[in-house]
Amino acid sequence: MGINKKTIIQVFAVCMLFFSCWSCQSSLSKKETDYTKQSWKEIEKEAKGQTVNLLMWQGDTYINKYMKEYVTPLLKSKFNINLEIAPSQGNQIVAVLMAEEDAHTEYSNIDMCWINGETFYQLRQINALYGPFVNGLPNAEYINFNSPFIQYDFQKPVEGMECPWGNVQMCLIYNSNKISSPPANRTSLEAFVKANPGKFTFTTDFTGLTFLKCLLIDMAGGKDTLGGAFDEDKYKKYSALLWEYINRIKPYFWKEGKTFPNAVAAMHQMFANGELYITMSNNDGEVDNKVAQGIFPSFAKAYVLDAGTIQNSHYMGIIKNASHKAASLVVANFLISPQAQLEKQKPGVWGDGTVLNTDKLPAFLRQQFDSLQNARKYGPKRDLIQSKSLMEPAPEYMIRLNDDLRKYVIEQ
Amino acid sequence: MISENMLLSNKILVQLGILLFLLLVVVPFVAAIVYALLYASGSAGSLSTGFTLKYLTKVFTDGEVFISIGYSMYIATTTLLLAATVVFFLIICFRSSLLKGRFSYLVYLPLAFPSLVAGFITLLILGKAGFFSRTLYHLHLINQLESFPGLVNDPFAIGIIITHALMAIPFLLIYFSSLYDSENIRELEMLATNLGSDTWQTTRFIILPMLLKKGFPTLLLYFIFVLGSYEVPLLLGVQSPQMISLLIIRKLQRFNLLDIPQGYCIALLYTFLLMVLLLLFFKSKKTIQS
Repeated sequence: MGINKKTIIQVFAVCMLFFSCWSCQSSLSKKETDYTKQSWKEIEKEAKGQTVNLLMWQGDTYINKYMKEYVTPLLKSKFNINLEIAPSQGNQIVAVLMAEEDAHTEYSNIDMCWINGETFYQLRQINALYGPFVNGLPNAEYINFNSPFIQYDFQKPVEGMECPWGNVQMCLIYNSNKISSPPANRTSLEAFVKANPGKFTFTTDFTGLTFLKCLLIDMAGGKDTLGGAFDEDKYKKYSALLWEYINRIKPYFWKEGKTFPNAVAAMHQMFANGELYITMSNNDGEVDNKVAQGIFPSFAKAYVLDAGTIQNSHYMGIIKNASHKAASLVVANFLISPQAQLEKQKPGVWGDGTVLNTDKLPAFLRQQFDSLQNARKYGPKRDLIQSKSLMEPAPEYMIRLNDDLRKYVIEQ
Repeated sequence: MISENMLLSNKILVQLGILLFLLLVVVPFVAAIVYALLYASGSAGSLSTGFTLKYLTKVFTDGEVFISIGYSMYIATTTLLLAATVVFFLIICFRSSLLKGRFSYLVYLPLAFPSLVAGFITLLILGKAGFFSRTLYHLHLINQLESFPGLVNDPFAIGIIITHALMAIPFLLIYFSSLYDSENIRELEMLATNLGSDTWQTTRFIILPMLLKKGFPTLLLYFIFVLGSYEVPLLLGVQSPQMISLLIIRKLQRFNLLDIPQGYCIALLYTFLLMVLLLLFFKSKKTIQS
């Protein structure tokens, strides 16, 4: 046909050259606005008409509904901001941002993301977050920064690099038709698991690892024993005890402990259809919301272990290379407004705990927040479990637990 | 003059076609391989610290990747053996009449399900609290739901194999039925019967060799498709061993960012394995043709 190998190689070489030049183009110096020097009015003015691309986990109908039917319309009507939400979570967000960083992308396709501790740690590792910005938000004055559960994220000070959005505590959810008195400590959990083979397990995702962290802290001596930076010696000592404990009761787990669910949604489903007697949630308000949705039958009741469970906050981060920082700041400010927080905390809406110090709010708003606590039917009231809340240990504990769970339990 | 012009325009068209193919297929693929190589050797990436072979060494010494590849091969092979056996049985027994008439729609139906949906259906039917388990329980054939055998999330990947096989059967049935017709196997069968061969001999020496020889490329491509499947093993698999796609994603997207280069190493190994498979296939095809 008149095309020889040489021609093909030449064309290929030109293509590769073009491709590499295109991918390696250096970013031109871009003009950055210093929003700390702008008044809030100026920021709101600039934000008008902008579209904010937010990445967040969209695995819950109620959360999606809150964002779609409450947050998005109000942002449009109040501030003329378009909120575009795309599904993604923790590690996927990190992967996208790392790819953008590697490609030296000048402006990110993402403006904001919903994150918590382990993602915050990863995003700080790759320097992908914009900030500090939280103190510049007018509604930040209401945030309960006195709470260490809000001020620190996985033992790392937040330092204004992410905006607190909600606060939750881990709960175990049990089938009250089958269990009259749920296991409240390690000993009774072991007895329960042995007496009810196949009815207990935990996930290998964030929720399951949080459960393991609760046990690890308990084995280490309770509250604050694993506080501060990662301690290799402590980890080795107490994780050995943890794996010994888990392996001892593993044969009585679901599927004889030969495998574990990889996501909490699968565990919830097995709990709802009676395959499991206990499931778990990182949100103490989730059980009410799941019963209201009809996902859990009304036999579902939530409680926390006597030795405590981890309480943590989740946050909104703004991306360092976000194209619409002004609008992102306005969105973050709106999300921590008392009205938006109150709506979010309603069990029939989401049931997510507030990050605001309600004492700083006007009396009528404070009363509304208090009445929401009393509206819980299936979950424990926050003031009753606050004394049983544990701080998240440093992120390295979770990374190690994740690797070692596979090594010492799953692959055994 | 006209024919010369036509030849020239044909030549330009072919060259444009090659250019497009290179630009849209080969270049991005090679670029991705180069990027993965750089990442796997610590030479690229936000957290890279310079060239190192430690990630590759870790992948080789860990051994998890080989277990995973072996497990994926076991699943893909068993799936294809099961699906092909069923398909050949149906073709031999019913010829291509299955694809005619009112019931032919039923054969096409499973093709409409995405693999994720097929996985969920398997979970709802074969799970311990699934349809079969509940039916047997209500018929008092089992004392409790837990007595139902573990067919999903099981170490032998029964759920994964059944799901993949059920998705493969309609596709292969349609493919091999049309092959059966287009290759005139029916006529050859009749000829063999007239010459005195029995059903077994016809099947053994005419139908199966002809279908397998012509259909081998499709079977190989389907093997590769199952080998790299993600959604079905994610839903129905166990935590260990994991199929290769799950292992790669776990290394690329879990909590430890320092595992990412290992993910690229495994992805490269997997790509290399597929290339070897395809090369062997093309080589064997050439040998057969020659």
